[in-house]
Amino acid sequence: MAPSSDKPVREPIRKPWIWIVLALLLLAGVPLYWPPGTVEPIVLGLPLWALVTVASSVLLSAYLSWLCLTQWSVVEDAEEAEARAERERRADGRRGASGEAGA
Amino acid sequence: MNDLAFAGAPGIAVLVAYAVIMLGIGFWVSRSRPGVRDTLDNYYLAGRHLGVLVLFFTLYASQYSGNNVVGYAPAAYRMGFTWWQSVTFMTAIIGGYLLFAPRLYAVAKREGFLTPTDWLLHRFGGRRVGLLAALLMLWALANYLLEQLVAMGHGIAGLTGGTVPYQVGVVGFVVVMLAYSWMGGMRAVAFTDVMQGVTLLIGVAVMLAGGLYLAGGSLGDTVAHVVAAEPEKAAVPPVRDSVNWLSMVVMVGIGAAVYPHAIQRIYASRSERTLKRSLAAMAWMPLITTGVVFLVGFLCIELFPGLGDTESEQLVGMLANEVAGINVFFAAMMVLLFGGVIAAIVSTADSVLLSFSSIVSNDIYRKGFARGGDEGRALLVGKAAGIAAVAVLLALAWNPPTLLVNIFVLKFELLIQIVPAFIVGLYWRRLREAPVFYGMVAGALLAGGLSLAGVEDVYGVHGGLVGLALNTVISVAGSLLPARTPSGPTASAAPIGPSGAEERPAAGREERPEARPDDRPGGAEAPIAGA
Repeated sequence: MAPSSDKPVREPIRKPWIWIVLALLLLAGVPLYWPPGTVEPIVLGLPLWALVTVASSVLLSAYLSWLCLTQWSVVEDAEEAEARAERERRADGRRGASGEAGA
Repeated sequence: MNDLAFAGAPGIAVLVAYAVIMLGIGFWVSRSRPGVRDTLDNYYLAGRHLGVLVLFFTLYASQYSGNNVVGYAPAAYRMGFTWWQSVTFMTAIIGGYLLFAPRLYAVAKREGFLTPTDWLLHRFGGRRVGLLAALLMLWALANYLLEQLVAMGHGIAGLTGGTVPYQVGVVGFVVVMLAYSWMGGMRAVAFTDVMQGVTLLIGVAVMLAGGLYLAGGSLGDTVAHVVAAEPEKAAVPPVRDSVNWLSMVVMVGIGAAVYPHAIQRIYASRSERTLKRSLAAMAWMPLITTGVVFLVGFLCIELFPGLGDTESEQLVGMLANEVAGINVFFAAMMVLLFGGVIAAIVSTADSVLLSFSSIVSNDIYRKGFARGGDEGRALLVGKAAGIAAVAVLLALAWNPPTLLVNIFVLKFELLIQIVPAFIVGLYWRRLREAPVFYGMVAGALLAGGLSLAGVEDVYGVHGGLVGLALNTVISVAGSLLPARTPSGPTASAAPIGPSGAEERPAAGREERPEARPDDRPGGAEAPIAGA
């Protein structure tokens, strides 16, 4: 498969900041840094530690989803180029067939 | 799921309807795709052509079993906010995928891998790492399947009010499952997953709505009630529990991503774009599924105060009875939910069984006993092994062994031991076969030994992770030592680029049509040679 673009390969494993942020988000969601037994203060109807944990989960989902969509492109461009070429070949084939039928 | 108020004829009708739909999907796939059973690729990987929607739902249905509903709500009831960890660890699975899926997808497409073991054979050449990994995966899959079969039996008996006995229900649904799987392979399994996933999502959402209605409509009031009545369920857990939480996030995050049926869904994706879009959507599903189930369990702290551990296991059934009493709509939805729970168990079981059969077909039969044997025979062997496995597991489920029962709960603890070979091997060129093999043996023995000795964790860290730490140290340290002979048979990490074409074939890897150099996705990209 030939390369179709000069876009660089994007692979999460090669970017340390991705894993540092991920680790921080995971750690933020685990209540290791709160004094055990704490309930107060209550913020927005939830104990603050639980609110922080829930917010971390939402951020974690958003972050992972964003990573998948924007930081991962290894063979995508090549696959898309090949798919386009295949579609064009088929369209040419159909045009050829209908031309012969018309003649 | 005992004593459901709506059990009986409606439950039987819903189960029969689900069974008919599943069989219909299998029949439709076999008619619309005549070659679906002809090759291992078509049968086990849907011809590597799953699109975004179907891939998403099959990832979802394989990862979220009915057990996630029936078992997780009582855990939230007992542990309170501490069980929010279920959302975190299910989300972390996407992080686990990101560790290896981008590169594995490209290499698997290029080399035409069918099972996870194919990668290990390709990477390490020698057969022992692949064989040991295949055995660990089969063991984990079999135990996972056993869990699903038991849950399926209890679910059917509960929903039908005992009219359909446990054993009859399980055998009936196993026959249905085998029938549609055999008719349409992974494509049928994936399409049934769409139906099963949608049903489960709707059912759980309606249950939450009903629970909220019964609790007075305000989640804030429920939290205030829990803080006042059972503050320990709203309090920061002890340090050991928090360590256990983190350990669970790491173990499930990585372990669930390397389940063979999860890896095979990476292989089955139509394209990289399809795969990453499906996983991007999957990152939100823990909030929508385990998060909602958590809320259901949490609401029950107010609705059903004072239940003991055993009583709380019936929590979902108890809430469903109350919700069904609201009006006819909720009653009908609860019947559908419980049908959906059983369908979700079936959808997890079918994926696991298909993956089990593929490992036997490909790794044990074609690469082990009958090297390069024809695909038709390999498919037959895989199907026969699937039936044999289900028969043995059913015998175990109905006559549980009194000794060594802990062996039959080992899943993640053993499965996670393939991680150094599987993930580190993707990126680190120096990782060698012998240390990886001995590391895997040591890790599996330590993790299994801890479990058999009844040691669930060490200072909060799960036995599986303790084994993995030992395994990783042996694998890495052993690979850093000077080798007595020239390094391992292939000793290469996974290049995504054209250098892959120049790699010499590893022992035991056959030339597959998909592996022709001119077919290789990314063949002319810059090599990504890892270390």
